[in-house]
Amino acid sequence: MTNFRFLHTADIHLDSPLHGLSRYEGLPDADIRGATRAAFDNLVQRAIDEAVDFVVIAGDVFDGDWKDMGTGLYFARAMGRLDQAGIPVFLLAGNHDAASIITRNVPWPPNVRLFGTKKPQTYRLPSINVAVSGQSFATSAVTDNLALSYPDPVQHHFNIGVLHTALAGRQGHAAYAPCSLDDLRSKRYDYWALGHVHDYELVCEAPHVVFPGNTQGRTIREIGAKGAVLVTVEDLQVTSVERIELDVLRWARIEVDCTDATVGDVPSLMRATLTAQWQGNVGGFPLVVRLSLVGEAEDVGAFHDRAGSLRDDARAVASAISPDLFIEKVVVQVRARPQANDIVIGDDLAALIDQSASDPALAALLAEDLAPFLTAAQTALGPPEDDDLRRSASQGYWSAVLGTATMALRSRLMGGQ
Amino acid sequence: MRFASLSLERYGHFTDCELFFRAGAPDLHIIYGANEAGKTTSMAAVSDLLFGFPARSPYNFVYDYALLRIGAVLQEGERSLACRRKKGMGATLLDADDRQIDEGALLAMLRGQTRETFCLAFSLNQEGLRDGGRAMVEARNDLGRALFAAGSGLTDVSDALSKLETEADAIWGVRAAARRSFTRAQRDLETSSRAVRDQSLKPKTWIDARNAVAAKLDAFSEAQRVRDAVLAEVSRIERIRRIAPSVRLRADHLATLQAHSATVDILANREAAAVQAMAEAEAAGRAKAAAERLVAEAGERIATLNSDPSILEHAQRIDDLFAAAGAVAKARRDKVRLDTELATGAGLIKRLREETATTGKPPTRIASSKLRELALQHAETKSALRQIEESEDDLTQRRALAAATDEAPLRDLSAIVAAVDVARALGADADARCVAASRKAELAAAALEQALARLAPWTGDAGALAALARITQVEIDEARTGLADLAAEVARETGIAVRAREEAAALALQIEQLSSGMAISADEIAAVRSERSARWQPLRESVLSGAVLPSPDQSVADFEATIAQADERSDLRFAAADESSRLADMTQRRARLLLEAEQAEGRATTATSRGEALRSAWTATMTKAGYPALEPARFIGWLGDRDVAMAAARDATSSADDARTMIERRDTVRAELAAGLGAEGGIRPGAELAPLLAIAERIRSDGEKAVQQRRLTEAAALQMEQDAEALRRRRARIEEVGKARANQWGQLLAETGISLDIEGAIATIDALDELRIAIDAQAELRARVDGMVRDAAKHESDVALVADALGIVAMSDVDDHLTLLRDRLAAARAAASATDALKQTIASRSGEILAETAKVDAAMDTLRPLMEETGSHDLAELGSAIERSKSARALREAVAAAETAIKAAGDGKSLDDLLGSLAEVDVDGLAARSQTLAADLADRNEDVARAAAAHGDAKRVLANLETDVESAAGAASDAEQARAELSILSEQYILKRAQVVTLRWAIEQYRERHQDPMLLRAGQIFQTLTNGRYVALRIDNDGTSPRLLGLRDDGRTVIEIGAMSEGTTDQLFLALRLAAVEQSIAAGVRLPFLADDLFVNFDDERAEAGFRVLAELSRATQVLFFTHHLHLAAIARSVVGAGAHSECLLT
Repeated sequence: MTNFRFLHTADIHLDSPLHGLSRYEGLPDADIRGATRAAFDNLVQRAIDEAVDFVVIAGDVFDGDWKDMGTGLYFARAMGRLDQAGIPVFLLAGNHDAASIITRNVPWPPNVRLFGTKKPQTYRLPSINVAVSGQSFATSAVTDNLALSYPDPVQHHFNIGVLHTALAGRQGHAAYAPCSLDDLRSKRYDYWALGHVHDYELVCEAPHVVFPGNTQGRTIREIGAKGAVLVTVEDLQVTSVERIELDVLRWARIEVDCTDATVGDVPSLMRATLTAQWQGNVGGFPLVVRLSLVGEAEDVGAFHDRAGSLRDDARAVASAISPDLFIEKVVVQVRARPQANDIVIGDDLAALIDQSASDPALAALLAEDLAPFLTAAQTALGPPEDDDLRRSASQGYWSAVLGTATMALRSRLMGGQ
Repeated sequence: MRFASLSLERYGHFTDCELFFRAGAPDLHIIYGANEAGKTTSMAAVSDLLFGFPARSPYNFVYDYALLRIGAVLQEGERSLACRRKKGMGATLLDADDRQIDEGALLAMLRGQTRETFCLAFSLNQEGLRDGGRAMVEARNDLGRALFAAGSGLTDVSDALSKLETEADAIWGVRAAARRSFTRAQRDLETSSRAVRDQSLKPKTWIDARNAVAAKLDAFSEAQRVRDAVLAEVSRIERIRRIAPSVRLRADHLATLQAHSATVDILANREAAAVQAMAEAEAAGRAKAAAERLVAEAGERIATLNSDPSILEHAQRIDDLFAAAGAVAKARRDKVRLDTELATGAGLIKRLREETATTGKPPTRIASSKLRELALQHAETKSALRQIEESEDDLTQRRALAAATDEAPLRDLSAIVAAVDVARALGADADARCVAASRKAELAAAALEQALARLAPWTGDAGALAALARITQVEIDEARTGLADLAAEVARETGIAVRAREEAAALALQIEQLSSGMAISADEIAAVRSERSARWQPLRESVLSGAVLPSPDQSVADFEATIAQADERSDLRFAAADESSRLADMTQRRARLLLEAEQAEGRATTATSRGEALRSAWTATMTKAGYPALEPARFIGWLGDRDVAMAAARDATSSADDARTMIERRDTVRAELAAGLGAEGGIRPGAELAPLLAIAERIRSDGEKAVQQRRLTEAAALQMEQDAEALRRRRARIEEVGKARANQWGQLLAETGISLDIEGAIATIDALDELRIAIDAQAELRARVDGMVRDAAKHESDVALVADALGIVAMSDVDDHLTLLRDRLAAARAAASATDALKQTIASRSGEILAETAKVDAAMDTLRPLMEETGSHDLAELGSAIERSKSARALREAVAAAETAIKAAGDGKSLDDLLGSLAEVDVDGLAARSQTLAADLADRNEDVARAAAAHGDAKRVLANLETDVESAAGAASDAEQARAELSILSEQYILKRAQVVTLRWAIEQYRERHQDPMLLRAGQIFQTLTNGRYVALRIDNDGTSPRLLGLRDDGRTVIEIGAMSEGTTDQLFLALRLAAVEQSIAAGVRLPFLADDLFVNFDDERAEAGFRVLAELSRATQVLFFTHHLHLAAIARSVVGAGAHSECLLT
């Protein structure tokens, strides 16, 4: 009877920075800077502590455009620690690794077995009857079904297939090395260690097909706990797939119901919501939160107009609740409640403002006005989010920009700010 | 209206100056005249013609007022009016024959204009243009106010716009600035991005560094290999050089060793034993000889020594005598001193016996002590008796003195004492307090009077005041508040009424002004339409019902006239729709204002009536309560005064009571004092207490002193009797003790056998004690002297006995005798001691001789086999054999040492190899070879060091690269944070700019819709006048007060008036003025426009533009342009055409 355990991880994206989090007072800079390293260190330490028999990394150790060799050396030293602990590592290069110049130059310690790119390759651990097969990405965009060419299982061995893929497709992830679950099943392997998809997913249990997710959430799109899976095999049968958390900072989306609230009510609403959320955060895990203000309210314009101060309010509220609670962004998604148009400003200024959103001349004026800014800011900014005014502006949807501006303006003129 | 001609018949310096103006469009005429030619005079003449001469005209310097004449031919449509004007109080318009004509025709042409309005609007010189222009742009006249009216009411919106712009500007601007948050975040991003680039460890850098380490390691290894080869050669040469001397030495030793082939080889241990035995034999021989020599010498010395056995037998006695001789000599010296002391003691005893008259034994020390004690007690008793006597004398004198003291009778002071105590209890300042209390009561009464007087018109005393009924504060407040509210309401309503009436009056003036023009009010239209309907009604009835008209023609004519009039009014209203609408609006507003005023006045009247009613009710309440009729506010003050008066009344009453009580108490005390003093106090005038109190206190003090003195005298007498008794008792006790002591004295004297009076006995007892001590000392001294004499005699006899025993002749001095004995004893003792020592030496040395002989024999027994082996016959030969053996062995050892040295310096090689390595080697040439190799080795070592250093550097570079690996990731994180902030700021900026643009657009739209048409027209004219440099005029309402701005041809830049050039400013003012003139013309006021050199600050191009504008104006009304610039006339010609206008010359 052969029993053993191994760690299956992927998408470490070592030294990749966290996105979307502005700096402000109280933000733990050091923790944010080293989040992916800290999570990776947790992985290595966990492997040593658990005395696993080997580690499988299913791609994307590095970020594709990251060129700091220091990251590669850090990774190599960590692998060296595993080497000293007598733990072999089976490493597969994913799309990011293929694009990374670091991957090609890292001095791998002897315990690291890197899969080749030209064809599937099988490594064996005779002492525990394990065969690990995999094929690294040769380029950053592999669209072939690599699984088809994986070799037949080695007899009387526990066969693991390592593959960097989105299977038949996963939202938000490029469809690299596409394959179907049947393709994988047809190989009659005992365990498919997948990578590429950043969310944990137990795709199938016969055989086990597992996405471990990435080790550290880096944007608001990667919410919730992140880590790896610890697989226990007894007598060539998987007896448990335990999900382990390795991340040091967690992301969360929280909605604040602002129905019938004024903008002045928002801080207390945010406080109540954040407090409830924090109380549910067992263990006081550091949390980065995106607050979405939702519901229907009369003066929606005020929410937009005071978005900046609402963010400050949210930060203050969060830091008052806990020094480990942080605000990524406050997004105004409050819908306007239909109401009578009773603005009286000048004679017909209100009517003019109301009509402005659909006025092409005004749209042209705004386009002209914002052109220098959009040009100047283009190089510094990343891609806008779906609801961003910048996206509307850059795509010429001026009516959307003017619609929001009109609401904010009406609120400002009525509210006498 | 236009001038067809102007005739300056007698005006200023003009005489019969005729100016003719050609009819037809453009009706623009240039009147040229040089300086002093009379342009200004001509323009003044126009005004004077149209509106009459002013009371004081400056143009009479040639012709008197009565002779002044101006003439003109005026045209309006088909009508023409030839007229002349003279100066006068009335009826000054004349015809050609100086006959008065009606001014109605002229007034109709003037359309209600006055000299002022004409000069302001139609007759302009440079100064007037600027003054009027400034008044407009500063909104100091109606035209200016109309200009700026459109933008009013948007101030708050402008503030909001400004705030939004500021907020947006704080985020981003075209020019980067540190105050802008976007710029800051952008710089953070750039800094962090740069840090990422700079701090990233590039793979190529790391690989290069790693490859460099490998390359340097190879170079290092190669340098070491080359160096090691040279080092090996150096080592070989050096080895040969090291072993060569040893090899040579070995060879020499081997050659020498050949000569020792016959030498017996004695083992080293045997050799050492033989050498030791030989040394021992020689040493034993030498010791034996020395001992024999010492024995012989000792025997010889013993024979020479002289021994004295007889004296040695008496040695102990001689030593004892010699020891006692010192004490005997000392006793002999002391006896002399003691003899002297014996003589002195005998003298002393004799003297003391004489002093004490004692021949026998003096009393013992105990008896003496008792005698002394009794003598001392006796002396003390005598002293005490003397003191008692003195005290008794003193007592006798005191008795005599007391008996002589006069005893006067004492006075009874109890009444005075009681009165004084009561007066003192009243206080020392009782009189002053009485005066002060009286004064205070008077002042309080005066204050009460004043306070009551302040309550006028109310009159009465304090009691009446206190009895007044109470009116509560609530009642007062209600009345006061009610009256104040009503008064405020009256004032407010009156103010509203006054303002409404003022505004209505202002509107009336404007209405009147508009009505005098083309504006037609709705009432007017309604009136003419009503008239038309009234005219139509008979005709309608006639047409429809066949009613008979009294005068059909007249009815039709009247109806047609009313139709025409209504149509005309309607047309006029339509033509001046704007003015009409404004008129209607003004009329409505005026009516509304008048209504408001009336309503406000009504409310004010009502409030006044309510106030009166409230006041009456209040007055009734006051009167009923007995108060004066005062306003509530004043009544509150009166109540304050009443409280003051009540307090003053209480104060006055209290003060009067205090004063009365005080004075009554003082008078009572004074009476008691006077009674106590009786006649002694006498009759004192006044009521003051202090004088009587002073007398009483003095009498009281004297009496108390007398009583005190009496008490003292009695106490002294009693004391004297007690003292006398005590003295008597003490004397008796002393005398009794004296008797007992005398008995004891006599008894003691009898026991001691001496005779001694107790008086002065102390000195005698002292002498007796001294005598007893001297007798004891003399006896002791005598015993010592006797002992000394006995010891000296015995010593001498002992010495003589010893000397006799030794046969020594007696000597006179015992000390010499003893010295001789001692010297002889010492010599005998020394000889005996020396003999004993020498005998011991002989015995000891004899033993040594035997022992050394045995040693020699033993050594020879040991050496004998070796001597036989070496063939030696004695020890000397044996020594030579040993020396030869030692030499041979030393040579063999030297050979072995040389071989060891060769191997030690041979780097581990075998001896044969080493010896062989020297074969065929020129040892002498090795030094040179070694030097060459040393230099080469140094070079190679340097190569190795360089390579090692290079390798170390490369390793350090690589190590540094590998250690500093965190900063780039941190910088990337910072960059992402900055990028996130930029994204947020971008959203905020876009939103705020969208708000700004929207709000500005809305404001502009709003203003355009509400812009004054005159401003629009002025902007067009200004555009023409500036040849398109400016395209429009704008009102800026963003500041505290609206400003007129010029919009430049870029459509964006706006210029303040203050920033425009002088010429441009003139052009702006002219544009505004011409727009106003056009408005007047449109309103039907069509008067000639007179311009006096308005283009002096215009350049030629703008002057040409100016003439184009005037030419356009002249199509609506006549323009007379006065100038003293010929080139302007030329420009005008070029603009309007040479034949299309008139040019007049003033001379």
